[in-house]
Amino acid sequence: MDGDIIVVRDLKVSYGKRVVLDGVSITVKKGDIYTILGRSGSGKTTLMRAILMLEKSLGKIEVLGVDLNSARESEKEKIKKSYGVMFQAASLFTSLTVGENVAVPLKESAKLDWETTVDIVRFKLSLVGLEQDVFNLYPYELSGGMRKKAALARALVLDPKIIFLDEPTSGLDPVSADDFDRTIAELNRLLGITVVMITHDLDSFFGISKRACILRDKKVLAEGKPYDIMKQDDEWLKKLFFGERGSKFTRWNHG
Amino acid sequence: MQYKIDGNRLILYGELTYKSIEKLSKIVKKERFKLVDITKAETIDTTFMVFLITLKKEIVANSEQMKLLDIVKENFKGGTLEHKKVGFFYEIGLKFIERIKELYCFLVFIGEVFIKGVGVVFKPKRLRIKSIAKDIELMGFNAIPILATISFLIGAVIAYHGSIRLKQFGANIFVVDLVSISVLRELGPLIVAILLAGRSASSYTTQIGIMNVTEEIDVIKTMGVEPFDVLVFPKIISMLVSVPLLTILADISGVFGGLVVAKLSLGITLRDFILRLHQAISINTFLAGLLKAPAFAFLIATIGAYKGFRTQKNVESIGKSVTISVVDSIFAVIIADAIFSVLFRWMGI
Repeated sequence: MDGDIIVVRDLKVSYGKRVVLDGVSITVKKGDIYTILGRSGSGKTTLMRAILMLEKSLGKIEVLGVDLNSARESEKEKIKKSYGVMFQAASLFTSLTVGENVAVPLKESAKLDWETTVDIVRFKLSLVGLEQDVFNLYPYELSGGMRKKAALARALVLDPKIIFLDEPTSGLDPVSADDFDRTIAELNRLLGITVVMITHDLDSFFGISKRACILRDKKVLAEGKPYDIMKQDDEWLKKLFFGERGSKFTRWNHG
Repeated sequence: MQYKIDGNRLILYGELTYKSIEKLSKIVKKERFKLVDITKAETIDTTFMVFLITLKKEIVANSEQMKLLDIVKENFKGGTLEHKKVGFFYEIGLKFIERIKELYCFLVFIGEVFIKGVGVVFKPKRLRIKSIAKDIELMGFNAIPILATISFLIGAVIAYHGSIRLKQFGANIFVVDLVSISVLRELGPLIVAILLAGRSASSYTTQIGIMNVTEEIDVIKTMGVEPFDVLVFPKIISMLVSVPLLTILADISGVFGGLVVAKLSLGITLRDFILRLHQAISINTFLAGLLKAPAFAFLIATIGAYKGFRTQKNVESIGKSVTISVVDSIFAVIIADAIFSVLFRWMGI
């Protein structure tokens, strides 16, 4: 269908004999902020890694109209160029400065002189809300939140069509997390980037995501708008939304 | 990307992304224009827009592109970052001073080892017997096969080369002097030290360096435990135990190598060899080699540990530290060996 940027149908992933995902189907539309929610170990990261072509899988994964499991290498390379990825631990190259880190994808895929590269990198750093003086700092000199932002800038440097974020707000204080959410929503609104993110953070889930899916027992339990998902009848979901941590959202939403 | 020049207007068509920046920068050098028209573009990305802005030309865009352009302009502050450039001599001076600083830091580290070592002497409970034993097994015991092989071969090679010359003079029996003195005095301890510099110093540096990167050393500190107790003293003691014992092994194995070659190529019997050995060497020859062992052991352990602590918090720095640690410990061992030679000569041993 037009407007569907990622279509996953009957995806099966297994490590040896252990099946991690069995018959998973999701659809991400263009311009979505799509959240993958699920308890620890439910295969969220595996689903993302399968879409990123880091994990072998059976079934259909169609990205930008190309089926990854039957595509040629050259087509896959093209798809990879339209991805921006931020891993959970930020995973900046520790031996490069922040600026050099962000410049890596640019250097790999376009021949630019260093001045232009610096200009572009500084723009991207500013876009994610980092000060200019972090350019020459090394990753270990940054705080956790700044590291995540630098990783986001690196993911954004080639203007990807889709960015994947693995728990972008984990390990951040609530203010930084809000800030990060706002940045993601802004980028989505301004540049029309499709965002796929894994999160445990209910603030992100209700705050910015437009559509979501819940993974449970190797399968997709529900897919749709966040508030529709909340109405699902499932024990774990009820605990999630109406338990200690989740109940504040229901209080806000219903009075 | 395609382009057309219309008067002082540059019109761009097609995909305007980071891929086409290189092409545009060539066009900019070649053509003269005042306006850039991007209204005909199929797609345009922010990376391309940053480059457009740096050109400082007037940009003609449609309303959609204008919105994007505004975002880029808002976030792109222009100006240049400060970039330090230094001259050749400045750099040489800087490197020299860094070397001196490194030596100073090493001396500080040795001082720290001594002062904390005195504390350990008064409180022997702080020594970790288990980790010392484990380290002796890993670094000393497991090195036995390779060390025995190397020193056997070295003893054999010396005897072999010597035998050709000595045969000409009919002085066959002196091959015993040649092998036993050179192995016992010099080669035995030196082979052990160089082998362990490669085996143990590198391993110590990597272990401590990675613990430094992953902040494990800070964890040890916050637990109220002295990091030296866990990471430095067990290694020093294990080296102090292993190196002398391995030196004795290297001595035996080296002389045995000489014995085999003497029998095979010069026809010296086992009885003759051992009788001559008694005359060739005294206990002093053996001690002259063995006395160096503790010094070598101390150098290998401290340099290995020191380089580990000096590792910066990035992955590349670990590789560098390990290289420097191996090179420096071999260098230090050879310097120490030279000093010992002069001292022994002076003392008449």
